[in-house]
Amino acid sequence: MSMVRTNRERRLLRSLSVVLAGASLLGACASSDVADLKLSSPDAKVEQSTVTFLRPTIDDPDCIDPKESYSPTAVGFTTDAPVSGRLAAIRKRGFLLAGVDQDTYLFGYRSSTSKEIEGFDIDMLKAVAKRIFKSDDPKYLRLKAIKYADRIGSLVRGPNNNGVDIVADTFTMNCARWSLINFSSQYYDAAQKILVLGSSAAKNLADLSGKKVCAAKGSTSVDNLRDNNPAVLIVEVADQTDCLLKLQSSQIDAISTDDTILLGLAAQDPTLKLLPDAFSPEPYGLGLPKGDKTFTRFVNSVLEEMRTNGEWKRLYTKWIGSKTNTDADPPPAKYRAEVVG
Amino acid sequence: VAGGGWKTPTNEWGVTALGCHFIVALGVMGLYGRLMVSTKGGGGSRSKPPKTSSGSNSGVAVATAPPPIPSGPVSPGSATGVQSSQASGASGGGSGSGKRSANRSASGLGTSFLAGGSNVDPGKDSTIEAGAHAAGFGRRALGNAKTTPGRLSIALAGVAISALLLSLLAGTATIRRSAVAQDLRDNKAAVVLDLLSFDASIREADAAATTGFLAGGVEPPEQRKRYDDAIAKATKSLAEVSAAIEPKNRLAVSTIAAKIPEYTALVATARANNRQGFPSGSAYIRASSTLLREQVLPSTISLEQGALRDFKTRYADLGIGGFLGVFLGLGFVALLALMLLQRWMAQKFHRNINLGLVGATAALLISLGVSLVTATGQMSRASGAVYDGLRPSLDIAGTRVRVFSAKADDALGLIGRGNTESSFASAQETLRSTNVVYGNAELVRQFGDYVSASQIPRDLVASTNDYAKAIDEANREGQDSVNATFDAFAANSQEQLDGARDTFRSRMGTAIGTPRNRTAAIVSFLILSAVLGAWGLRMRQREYQ
Repeated sequence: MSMVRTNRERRLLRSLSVVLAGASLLGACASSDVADLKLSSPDAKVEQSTVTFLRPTIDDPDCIDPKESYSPTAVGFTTDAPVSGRLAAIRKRGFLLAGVDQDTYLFGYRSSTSKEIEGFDIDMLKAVAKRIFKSDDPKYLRLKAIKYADRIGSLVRGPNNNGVDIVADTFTMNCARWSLINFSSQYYDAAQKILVLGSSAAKNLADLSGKKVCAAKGSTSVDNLRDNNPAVLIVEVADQTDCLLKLQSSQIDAISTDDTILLGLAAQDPTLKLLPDAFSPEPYGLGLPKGDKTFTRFVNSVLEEMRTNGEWKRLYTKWIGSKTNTDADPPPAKYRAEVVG
Repeated sequence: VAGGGWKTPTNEWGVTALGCHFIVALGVMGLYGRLMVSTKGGGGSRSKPPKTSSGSNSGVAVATAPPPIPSGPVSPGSATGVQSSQASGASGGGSGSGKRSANRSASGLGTSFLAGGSNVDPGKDSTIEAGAHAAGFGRRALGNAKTTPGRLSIALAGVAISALLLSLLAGTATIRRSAVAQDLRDNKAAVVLDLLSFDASIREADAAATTGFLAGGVEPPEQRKRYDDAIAKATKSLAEVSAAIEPKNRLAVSTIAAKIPEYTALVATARANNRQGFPSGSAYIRASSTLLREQVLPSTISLEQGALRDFKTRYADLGIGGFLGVFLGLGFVALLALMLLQRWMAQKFHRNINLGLVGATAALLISLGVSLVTATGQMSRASGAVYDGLRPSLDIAGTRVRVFSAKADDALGLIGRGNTESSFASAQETLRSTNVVYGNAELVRQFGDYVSASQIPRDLVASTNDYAKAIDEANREGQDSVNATFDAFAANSQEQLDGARDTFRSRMGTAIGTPRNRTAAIVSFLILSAVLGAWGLRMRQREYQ
């Protein structure tokens, strides 16, 4: 009898356990319904610069004066079709691929009316393409907007590796850059200045000690600022126009770069003022591939012709003189002394 | 948002359903063990109950000899002692006053309590007096448990209390489960989906603003409309999120909301500059995108993840936890107790069946069964809502976010000549997985059309550097254009998302709909169980009178 009762008890307990286990399973089921629910929102992709800033560290040993380029009148040089080098490749390809800025007002910027990139620098390139292909058909020139910090890198990589043939982008000539690329003869004479808010009390760079001054990353402006007043707080940005946004929103106290660029920025905002003091000369040249003297001489021959036939002066008036009420002559070309033979 | 005011803690019991069941199971085994011990130890409990007699008992106030429970038959004439002893609180022993009997019968906890309180002066502390009274009550109860009529009375009280408790629990469990389902539908899931809607819309606005800016001058009216619509949709979604989200996350939502005017101001400045032909507009449009990507979207994604976690936590409350778990646990304990009570009474009174108790057991069993079926039905409907409504909603919403994000990246890439291939591949992969599960073949085809169309401006930039043509292509509105294919995908995906969301809401609504008739049936059967149980017990009790 006792044994029978024990079995009943066991059966009761077993039944109860089964019921409780079933109830527990129901509870577990509720969680499993949603356990694998997940979201697939991608992380916000922040624009990352893919540019590796190629910064020259030593001066070119052959560079005595950075304004000096290779003469177009060297013995044996001809502007007729060369059989090798970059110039031959460009002709074979059918267009000149040029690296430019699309945000530098008056020099290289995207026009909201024509939707094309235009400016003083762009017209320089059009002249080069016209001479190469002996035609002013726009199909012979393709423009590629590049970052300031990628001007040297684009030339070093070349057109077959996401680079370009030539760069026209307010490019200051110096001996350090000559160690990695060639420059054409100087085509514009700029100087570094300072742009501030109209209400600013600053009159020169010295007054900006401890203040935030903005410049484009990869430009000589950054080095010049450090050299001329180490006490300024330099804010580096990807594009010159980013400096304008920061100045307009009071995130910085001043912008310092070439007067040509500052003129363009001031033209977009009449409440800004350009300080007259210049503290660093900035000679502009067209950037070209290192070592390709033929291509460099060819480009110099084009610039030489523009200097002499009045084309340079016409373009200056069109883009800069008419906006600033100034007149200027082309900077004289300087060439390296080369040993013949 | 309907029912936006409903706010409940996530788990009011603070234990998991499994833990709750474990505790209940321990309780059941403990009770079962105690009953077995008392059944085995009380040899007299199997003795034949005394015949009811009119009695010759003369003692009323003083307990006269009650039946010598648990030892053997009771002598005639002492039956009224049962009532007397019940009234005086004395336990069986059949001699002396109730107080003396209580002292004699005190054991276990009662003895320990008396021993512990022996050093206290009871005349000086009313609290101690109250404690002593409580101890006395405990002793009387324990004393009652030693007698068969006392045990019957305790069982009667137990049946009544259990029925009341179980009725309360059954009603509360049903109400709370409906509330949980409503909270899931109107708040938790709505917040997740509204956040995803905001996420997709703000990325769509980014894409429209950037693409329109590229056109230069006055942006195409179609792009402007896309931007305005997307911003309106984003702000509406954010307002709905703000109304329904957990209070702990409201600050984060406010921070995001504060960034939207900042974003639209940057876009407006970019437009103003662009119209005047100033290239500084591009700096403003880049800054607007950066604001979204660095400040708004990371916070939004974090909120989305948190909201989904909140949904999952709340959904667990639909399971056999909380009030329902306790109800079922106690219900099964009551069931077991009823069955053991019947066995004990069968042995005690030599009658195999007590109709009242059998009826009570059946009624309790039915009420538990109905509860379980109701709960399972609610869970099944909620589960169906998740599988057929929420899951596809999340998939489609997530895909929209990915596609809109890819479009925004594409537009930004056109400015900087970036490569957005990886973003589209990711969106395509997500969409293909939903196609397998939900048969969105049309959506996949539309997305494919869009990817093909958007490849054209990318190719123009990458292979020919023809920037102007690329921008024209990006802003073209004709058939098979980037915009037309994108609009087709966006409209269809929105339609499917709305459909899936409606499915979720309606299916969840069936889980919310309180089955009042079921609840009434459960409570009725519980009351019936109590009435039948009391009737069965009273029949046996009367045999002592």
